[in-house]
Amino acid sequence: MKTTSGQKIRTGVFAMAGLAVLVLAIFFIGNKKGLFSDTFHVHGLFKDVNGLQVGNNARFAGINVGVVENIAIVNDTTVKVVLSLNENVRKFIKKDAKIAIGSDGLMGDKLVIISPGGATTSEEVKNGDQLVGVNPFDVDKMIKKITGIADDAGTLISGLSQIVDKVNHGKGSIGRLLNNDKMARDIEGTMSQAKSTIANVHATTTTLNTDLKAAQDNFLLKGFFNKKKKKAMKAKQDSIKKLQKDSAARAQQSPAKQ
Amino acid sequence: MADEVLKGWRGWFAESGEQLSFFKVFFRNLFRSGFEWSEFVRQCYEIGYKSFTLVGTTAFIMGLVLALQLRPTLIGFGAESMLPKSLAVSIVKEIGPVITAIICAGKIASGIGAELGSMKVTEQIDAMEVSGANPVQYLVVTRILATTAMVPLLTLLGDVLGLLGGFVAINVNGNVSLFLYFNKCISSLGFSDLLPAFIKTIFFGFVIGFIGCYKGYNSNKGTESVGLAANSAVVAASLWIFVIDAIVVQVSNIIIY
Amino acid sequence: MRHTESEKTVKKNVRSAGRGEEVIYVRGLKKSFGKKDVLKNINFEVNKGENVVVLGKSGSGKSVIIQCLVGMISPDEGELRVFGEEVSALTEKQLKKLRIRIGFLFQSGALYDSMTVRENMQFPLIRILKMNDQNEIDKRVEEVLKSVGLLDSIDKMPSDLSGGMRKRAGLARTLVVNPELMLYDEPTTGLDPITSREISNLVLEIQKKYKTTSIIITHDMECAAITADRVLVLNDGEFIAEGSFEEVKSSKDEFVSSFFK
Repeated sequence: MKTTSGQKIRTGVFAMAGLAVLVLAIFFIGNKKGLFSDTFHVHGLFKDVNGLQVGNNARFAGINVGVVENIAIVNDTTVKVVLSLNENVRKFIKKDAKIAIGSDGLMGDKLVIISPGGATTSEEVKNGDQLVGVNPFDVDKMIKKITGIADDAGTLISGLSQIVDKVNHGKGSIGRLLNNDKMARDIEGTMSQAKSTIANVHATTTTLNTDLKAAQDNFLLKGFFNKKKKKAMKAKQDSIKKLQKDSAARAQQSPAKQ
Repeated sequence: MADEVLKGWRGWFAESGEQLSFFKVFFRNLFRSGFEWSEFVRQCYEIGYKSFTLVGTTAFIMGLVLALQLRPTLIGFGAESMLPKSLAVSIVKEIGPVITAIICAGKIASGIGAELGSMKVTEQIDAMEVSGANPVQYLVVTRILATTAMVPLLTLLGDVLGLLGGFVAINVNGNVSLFLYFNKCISSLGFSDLLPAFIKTIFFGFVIGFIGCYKGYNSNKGTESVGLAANSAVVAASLWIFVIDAIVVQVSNIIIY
Repeated sequence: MRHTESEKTVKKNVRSAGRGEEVIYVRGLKKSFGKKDVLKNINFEVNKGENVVVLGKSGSGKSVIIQCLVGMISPDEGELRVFGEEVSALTEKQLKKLRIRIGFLFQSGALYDSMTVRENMQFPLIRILKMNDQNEIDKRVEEVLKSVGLLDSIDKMPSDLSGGMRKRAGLARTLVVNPELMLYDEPTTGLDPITSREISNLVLEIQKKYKTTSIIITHDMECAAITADRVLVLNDGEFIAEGSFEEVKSSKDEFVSSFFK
């Protein structure tokens, strides 16, 4: 049986549609993985990558901008994580950017989070640069720390409660202060006494001032005050003479110059 | 008893040997000059285009049903947003290829088995051979190549229709834009999902054509052997599809991880 | 009968021309399927231009003989030469070349049922004779179909043809490549007497027109009477009688004469 041209066309269309699906799928998936766009590489060193895998996403400002390309153990405490990022986000990532490992949701994949940087330098990252790796938030460590804090808080609170207890029972000075009425009344009395004392001091000071003026006019001390006045007058005259001399000298120099 | 078992095994080995030599004959004729292009195109039409409605409908319904079935479970986990992802992965990696292949085994392998079987019974294959023409090149090579080329394409189109079915099912209950759905599906897929699945469909296609041709070409000269050829082609091809599926999973796991 | 005369002259001519004119030469052919010895000791030769009829019961292994001749079945033992070449010693390529010179008409006609009659005719022309010129192909197809009287049905599918027409079409397809040797496997089986006679006459006509050598396997006496130059009777894996149709008919052998009752 010969194939009619209609059958041939339909077969061709069918085959093309199938191939188009394949090509589009490869293109879209590859696009997502950054296979067909320009990329550049940066790396960071970590102590622990928390289960990060090659192919995990790298996020910048919450947007997927690349993938983890390689994870290699450098030595017993260092793991090198190489990221392949889209070229078009390079201008936003500065040299002092930091990379950290986070996770997508509570049970989700691990991912690398890039924080923008720009605090100390405005220079863009270059291909092959190393970024500072912020070690991941270790849940175990965190729990240990929180337990310590909780213990401390426990002792603190028990101490506090003892203090409060003492205060309530009027023990110690603060307790007495807060709990004893007599003492308050005593203090009140002391205060009013202090007030009247200060009023007395004030009155005494005024009297003393008038006494001092009277002493100035007193003849015994007049000579001393006059001498002081004369000295001051002389100093004034000297300075005037000096000024006159200076100006005369300047007047002689200036015609010679001309 | 022991004799019978031995006989059974011997028969099995004999069959395997025959299949192997049939493969050799196919392979030798594959590279012989004078490839039957117009017969190949006709077979592509018969096998590919004419199976599309069946495969497409099935795949669409599979996607729909799968989405409806998965939804309550995922809601139980509070992971409803994982629905497109789980659909995409399960359809592209497993359900699309296997369902398509099984349908093709039922439709194409049995068709080829019956066609070649009846040609054998009515001496058409003998006539071709005796006349000096090459029946393997004309009948077998074209059919095997056509299935090998068409089953992967059918699977790809089936995958798309299956995902569309899933989209329809999701939109019965909620409201997701096609673009978002598409984006989620794509973002949950990697080459490690797509390529092994695609490669295994090539093997599926080959097995469907090969088993169909083998059973038909080597059927006996009796009328009942036509039915037998068609039937055993479906059974053997389906079995092979699952065996290959299992092998591909293992191999691709070794290669990828 | 008029043919007996001409047969005798042909035979004489051939004999005088010597052994070089032998198209088929078979000695000691043996073939068994499982435990059943189908052919025990077959010896015969066919000369150029001769119509040899092989008579025998159904299932006596008549068809096996001609299947051995084209290499479809390999014999267990025996010498088997066609056009002077030992069939069992041929490579695949040589066998293919030999087969092109031989036309084999199957019992059922064996038309390719996915193709029209025209495409059936074109199939061997394109694939075996590697003809490219469409005009030439069409001319050849029409000529052959005309000679079997089937030109009207050229674009029909085999399933639309009657039994006799299928036989004719099958015959046309074997003839289209101009074979030198024609092997007919029960050409009249399953046909009514009138159509049988037509086919038998057609076989004879063809032999004259295309100058072929033929072996006709049959159990149809009328067909044998019309076509035979020489008759071979097969029984129990051996030829038990040989001669012209009249000679064999008058044989005293019980088995041979039972054919003519």
